[in-house]
Order: sequence, then C-alpha cells, then structure tokens
Amino acid sequence: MGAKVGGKKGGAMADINVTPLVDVVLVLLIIFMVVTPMLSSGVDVKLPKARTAEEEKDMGQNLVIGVKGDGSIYVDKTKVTKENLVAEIGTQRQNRSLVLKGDKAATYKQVREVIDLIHENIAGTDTMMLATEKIKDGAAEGGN
Amino acid sequence: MGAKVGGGNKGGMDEINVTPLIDVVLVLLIIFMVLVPVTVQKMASELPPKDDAAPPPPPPPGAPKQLLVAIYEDNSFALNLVPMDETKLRTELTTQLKGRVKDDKNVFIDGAADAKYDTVVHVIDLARDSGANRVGFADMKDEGPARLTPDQVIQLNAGTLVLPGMPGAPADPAAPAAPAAPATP
Repeated sequence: MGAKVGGKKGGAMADINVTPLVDVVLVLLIIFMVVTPMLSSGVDVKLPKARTAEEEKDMGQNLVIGVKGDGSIYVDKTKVTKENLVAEIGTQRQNRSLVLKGDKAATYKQVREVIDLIHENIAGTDTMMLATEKIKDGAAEGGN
Repeated sequence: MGAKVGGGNKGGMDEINVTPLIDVVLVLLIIFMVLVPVTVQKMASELPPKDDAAPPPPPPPGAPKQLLVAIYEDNSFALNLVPMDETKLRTELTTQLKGRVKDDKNVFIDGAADAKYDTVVHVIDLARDSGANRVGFADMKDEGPARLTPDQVIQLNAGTLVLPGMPGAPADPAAPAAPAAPATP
C-alpha cells in the first residue's frame, strides 16, 4: 500500500506543463519554414551544384532572372514571357547587375534563349553570371 | 510516511516559469536572422559576340588551339570532337590548359538544345576546376554540336583518323575549333 501512495506522489511531480513550450517551438518552426525560401532573391529554383563559384552576400544587389524547370521565366518574382522579359528587366533593374538562376531540370535551350535575349537587347551583358549551389567539401558531386 | 510529505513539497516546484526562456529564444532567433546573411554563389560565363557585332579577329598563328567541349543531347561530352567521359575530360583539359598564359586559358562550351542545363553548368564548373580562366558559350546551332559518326569514332580509336588540332594534323590556325563533321556516309 505504501508503494502505491509513493507512485501517486511521483505522478504529481511529472506535471510540468509543456504546452507553452511546444507552442513556441512550433511557431519558430513555422517562422523558419516561411522565411527561409524568401531570404534569397528571386524565385525559388533548384540550382545546379558547382565547386568553383564565387560566393558573395545576397543583399539585393543583383536582379535575379529565374528560369524554372518547365521553362517559365521570372524577373525577380514576376513571371514574364519572352516578349516582355527585356522590358521588365528595364523596369526593375535600377543599375543592379544581373544574375541568372536556372533550374537544374531546365534544358540548355530554355536557359540559353533567355541569356541570348538579354545579351542581344541589353548593353553590357557580354558576361552572364550563373547562380549555382555550393558543393560542400567531401560531399559527392551532383553528377546527373 | 515521511517520504509522503517530501513528495508533496516537490510538487510545489512544478510550475517552472518558461516566459524568460521564450524571451531569450526569440531574441536569439532575431540575432541569428540578422547575423547570418544569405549568400549567392555565381559563376561568370562569356557570351559569343552579338549578331551585328564585328566578328572576333582570328587567333594569331602559333596561338594554342581552342578547346571546345561539346555536350550532346544525351549529356555525353566531347573535347574537340573526341568523345570522352568526365574523368578523361578533366585530365585532358587540365593537361592542355597547363602552361598557357592567362589570356589563352579559355574553354568554349557548345551545348545541344536538349542537353540538361545541370550538365552544362557541371561542365563549366569542371573546366574552371581544371584551370580555365574564362569559359564561354559558343553560338547555339540548330543541328547541335558537331559530332563524329560512329564509323569515325572507330577510325579514331584505331588511330587512322586525324582531326585538326591533334598531333600530326596540318597546322591551320584559322580553323574553327569545331570543324563540321563530314556528312554521314
């Protein structure tokens, strides 16, 4: 009988209320999930991996042209067509340098057409910066 | 019975106040969001001259030959028409780029329309990793990059086919890096 009563005391001690903690952790998780894709400029695409790319801080100094895997084109976060791509870049550029974010699932032609359109119509674009994702040292190369 | 009283006292400690903890965690979160800046990784790629621009001067005689990597629609590679796998391509580019002056460390990429962009970026990365200073895109051709016919590959492996730019080939500095492959037999 004595043991039974002792068990009851133990049960009272385990009563720490974790509900507020769980609430906070969930809210933090949701904040991170929402904010993380929004932190990088431009649309969210799966970038090809590269070892030799230069890294710089993304402070909004680049105007990002996105090409998604289905070939759709974005200027920053605005979806554009091939016809109004150049005009939209002109509107949004404000002397920023251009960076092209191509999805790794896109074909060379889809990306190259966008590059050529920019190159033919916008002065000073003899070099195009291609956004990539860093390969972590020791990780296997994304070779597909 | 004494134990019973002790248990009751511990029960009074249950309500740990988590509010300061939450405050600290939120402040830490904000500090981290400000301190860890997002980075962007980028690689430069040169583009061919515009259609209305003057064509580039032909390379002077004696200039090292151009290195042109073709990427076919099946995502296989060839360096100056010679088909090779990735390991060979890396070795070959490293060998050929070594000892060149900086301005001659150029590699050109000629991709097929249906090649994956991922593969193209991978080859640019590989070329830069092998010592290329500048990597440029060649003009995209409707028929895709020139490639050898299966017969020519057999001849090449047998050593009976000599491509321009290979050891033993006639010197022709004005020749483009990718001479058009002869028509299929």
